[in-house]
Amino acid sequence: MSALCRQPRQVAAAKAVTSHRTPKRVRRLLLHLCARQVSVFSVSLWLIFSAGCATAPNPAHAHGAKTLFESTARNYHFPSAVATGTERERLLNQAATGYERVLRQYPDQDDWCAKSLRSLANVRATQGRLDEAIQLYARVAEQHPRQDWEILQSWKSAADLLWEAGRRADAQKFYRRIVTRFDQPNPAAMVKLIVHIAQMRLQ
Amino acid sequence: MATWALATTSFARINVVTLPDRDTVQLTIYNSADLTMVKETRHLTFRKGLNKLEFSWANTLIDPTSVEFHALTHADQVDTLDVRFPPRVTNTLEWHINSEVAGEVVCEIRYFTSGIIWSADYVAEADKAEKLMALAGNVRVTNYSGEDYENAQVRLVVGVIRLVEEIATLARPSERDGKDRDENGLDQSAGLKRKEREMKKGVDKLELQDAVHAEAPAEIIKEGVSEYFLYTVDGRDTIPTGWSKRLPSFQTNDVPIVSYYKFEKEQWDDKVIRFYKFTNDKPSHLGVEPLPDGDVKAFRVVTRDQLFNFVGATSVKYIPIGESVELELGEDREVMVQPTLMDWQKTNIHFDQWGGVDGWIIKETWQFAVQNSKAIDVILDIRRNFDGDWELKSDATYEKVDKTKVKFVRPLKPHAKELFSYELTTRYGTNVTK
Repeated sequence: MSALCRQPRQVAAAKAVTSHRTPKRVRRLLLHLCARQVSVFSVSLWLIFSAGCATAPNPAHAHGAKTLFESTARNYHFPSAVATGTERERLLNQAATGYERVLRQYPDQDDWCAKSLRSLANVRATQGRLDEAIQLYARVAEQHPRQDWEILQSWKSAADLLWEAGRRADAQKFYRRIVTRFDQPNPAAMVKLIVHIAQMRLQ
Repeated sequence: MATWALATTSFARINVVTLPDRDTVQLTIYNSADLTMVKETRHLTFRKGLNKLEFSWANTLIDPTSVEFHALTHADQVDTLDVRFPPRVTNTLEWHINSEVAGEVVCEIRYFTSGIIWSADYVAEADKAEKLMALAGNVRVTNYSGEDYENAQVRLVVGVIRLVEEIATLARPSERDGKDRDENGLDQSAGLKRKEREMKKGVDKLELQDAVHAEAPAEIIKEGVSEYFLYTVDGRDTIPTGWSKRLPSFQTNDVPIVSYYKFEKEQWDDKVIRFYKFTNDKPSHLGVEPLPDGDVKAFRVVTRDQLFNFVGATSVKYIPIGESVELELGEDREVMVQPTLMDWQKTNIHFDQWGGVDGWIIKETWQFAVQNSKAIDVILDIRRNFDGDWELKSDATYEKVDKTKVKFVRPLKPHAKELFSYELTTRYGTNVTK
């Protein structure tokens, strides 16, 4: 019998660590390794590696998400800025579809999803669907809290749209969020400017 | 590609105006990080009142958080009121600028980008006697930033600015994901931005120095563990994205060199290696600035009509002002060193009380045949390494380098052959005296 099978506590601990992910697969693999007399050390290494892979974004997805996002922006969103009438609406709808596909197909790609969500909000804002756009802008921070730059742009866009629509109180909520989160020592030049503008709007 | 557009408001109408090309572009490229500070100026025609200025960083490696706008003329009459992210496009910002003047304003945009790198290389051309050389420095700038830079002035930060290693991640948000938080999940990007600011301060300081001492030789800035130098490449050139450009940076003639040939069995086996040594100082017609690390190709004039022979290639590290550098140029078969063991004796053998050997002395006699097949004088530096309690006797002059190394320096006339020898005594065990 292998060392793995002689130490059931360690195996149990290892299974407990991984059971919330793919317990059946891990259990089957452990049994297989046990039969092959693989050491506890090797199994531990594999479990650590496996756990890491389970949480890390898929590199292939990163490329796919980037390609889809950029082709959507290039083929539909950018041309919509100079199109008019029904052609403009068609391009905006296709841009929205493309960004939604990024969100649906590559949910592990935090940065591309944040960009897509903000871009989708931009499309809705351009279509005049203000409340929907504001909700989407707000979702960027809720769903992608690590994407500081996307969050800053989203909150600023939301605030400016509301400000221009005369909904000053709602706009100030977003300006306040900007100040609360981004008024830090030694900010980057653009962040400093946006925080300063937000502070002015709150006065 | 980064694009600009100017929109001026006139009641409800917005006129989008295509801007003229950049007037000047300056790239300050940091050697120790994939990071470049771009400063560009343009002459913009503002209307009195609100003007809108668009800047796009789509498909580039520009760090949008670092983008700054300044009016260089009428600075007190041009204010940035707001910055917007227009929803009709992505990766674009729009400055709302209030101008109290109607007319031309010189504006500057600054930002950081990654994707521009540089490397230095040198060509050394020694004269026939290997006493003087011409040294030419070149800089190769490679641009894959996604942005074309026309007619750009290139400046290189040579040396090390502390805390720059992580900066490259700033301009690559997609690669930054997850890296700008520490193990506790706290945001580290503020720290990185602080470093970016420190770098900018360093460059500002160097620029101030340039301005104050425009005619005086530039000085090296030393701060803490940093030592760096702002190196401006003469002239301007266009560096499109996806291209490399090799720009000449300096050309100096009559740099004195010491040419010599080294033999050290432990380092180069039986090969004789050629070296050129020169100093980065004023008497050598250098010493204006430190020389960045780079590859060196060396040539030597071999005929009266200036035909060159390839001597060798090597790479050099950063050469501060006043420092000497040895160029190791590879094997030269026209200089030969042949060591031969002529005699070997084991003497003074001592036995312990059980009859075992516990002390002895080895005496070796070595003869060296050296030959210069060149038509010029050469200096040959032969190094020998000895361990333990050793003693050397030779009619030839030698110098002790350290506890285990001696060197024989032999000047050789053209086509000369010489012999010299030495006797090495090495004591072991109970015979050791020191």
